[in-house]
Amino acid sequence: MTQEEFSSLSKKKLKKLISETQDVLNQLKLELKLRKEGKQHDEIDHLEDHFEDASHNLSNLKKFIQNVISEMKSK
Amino acid sequence: MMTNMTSSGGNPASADNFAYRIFQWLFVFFLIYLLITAVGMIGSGFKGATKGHAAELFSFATNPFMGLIVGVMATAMIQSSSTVTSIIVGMVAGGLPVEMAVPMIMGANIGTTITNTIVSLGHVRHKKEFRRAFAAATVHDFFNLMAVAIFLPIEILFQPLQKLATYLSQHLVGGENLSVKGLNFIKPITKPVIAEFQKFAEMISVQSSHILLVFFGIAIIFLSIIFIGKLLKKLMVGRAKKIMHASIGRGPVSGITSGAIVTILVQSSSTTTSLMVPLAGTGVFKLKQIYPFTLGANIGTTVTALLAATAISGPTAILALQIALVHLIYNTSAVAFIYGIKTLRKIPIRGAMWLARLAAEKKLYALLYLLGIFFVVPGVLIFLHELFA
Repeated sequence: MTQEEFSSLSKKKLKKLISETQDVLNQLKLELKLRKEGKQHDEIDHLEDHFEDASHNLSNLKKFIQNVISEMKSK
Repeated sequence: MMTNMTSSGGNPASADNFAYRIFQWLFVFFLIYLLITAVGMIGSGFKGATKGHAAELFSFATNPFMGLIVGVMATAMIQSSSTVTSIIVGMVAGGLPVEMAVPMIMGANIGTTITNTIVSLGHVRHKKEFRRAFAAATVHDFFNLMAVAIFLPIEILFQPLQKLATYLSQHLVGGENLSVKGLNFIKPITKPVIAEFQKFAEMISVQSSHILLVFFGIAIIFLSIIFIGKLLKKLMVGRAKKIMHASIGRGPVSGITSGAIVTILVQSSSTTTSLMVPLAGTGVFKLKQIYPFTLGANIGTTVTALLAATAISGPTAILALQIALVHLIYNTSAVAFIYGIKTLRKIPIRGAMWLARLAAEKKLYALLYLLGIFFVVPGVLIFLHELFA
């Protein structure tokens, strides 16, 4: 709808449209929140893997130092 | 028949699994017993070795900044604040003055953050992922550095942590026999083992037996905390999942609480904070959500020092409990104060994001930060102190 079309609407109709749009907006926000939270729940379901990942300290450090050296060589 | 057996829980595999879990739990309890005994060993050995002159031996730590640096470096090297705080509790019981131990405890808080920073380095191959992971790790560093910057000067000037801990420990420790109320059973069960280790140390060297006993204690604490952590990770993963699932979408207080509970369950703040790094790296969890959970880990880890304090009975029990309570009060107040004030709360997030952006652009900065904050700066400060002292 354009601005001109809006101006032809009654105040009551405008309020109704705002309320409906607000409802849709809330539903969309909720859907987005639920999707985000769903992904977070999925990640937590793999907690064992994350525990495992977090225990490779020395190999992480080694990998990182190799990366720093190659970054320095390339410049 | 087969269906019946399975439904009634008669499956031999699940029975084996159950028996194995029971065995693992028994081993955890045995390791906790060893941990408590080892703290007693350190207390006894340290007392014997210093012959009441622990303060002179640690005279370099009369400067609180030196105590802080000792705490940072010791924890960064062994990557376990639980080990360091337990050792400190034992040393306080052996005569190390509480006021010297307080900065060491604060330093342990900083030193322990090295572990999750190293974990974040594993995400180096993907720039965006690395930036998010590194920020999630260093937000803990910034918070702990800020906590020390605020609380250490206040403690040096007015000793509020020590005073509150003294007040609380006097109420928790029995006045007559000066042993932790309700925990008088600890000494009879740890004393025989400590005596055996004492004899063993004397067999090796009579003159150095007390020092050897301290070393045995440190080694046992170190190993038992490693194994307790490994076992609890397996045993508690299910419960940790439930707690974390429940905290999703519930705001920061729930995040702090779940961080504290998960840390108590796995008995390691490094494990909890490191766990957050890959979760942030994927982008599924935002830094704002990771941050309170990390702070909860600071509170949860104080349980180990309290547990260690139960090892001490007699006149020094009150001192051991005092330093353990300092750890608890310090970490709880730091979270309440820094996270409670909006402007202060944002500083660690901004600092971590700024550093992560720099590190993602040039990885060398991350390496320099890691070496600088945990080793080079503390090392140079010790050198300067020794030079001018």
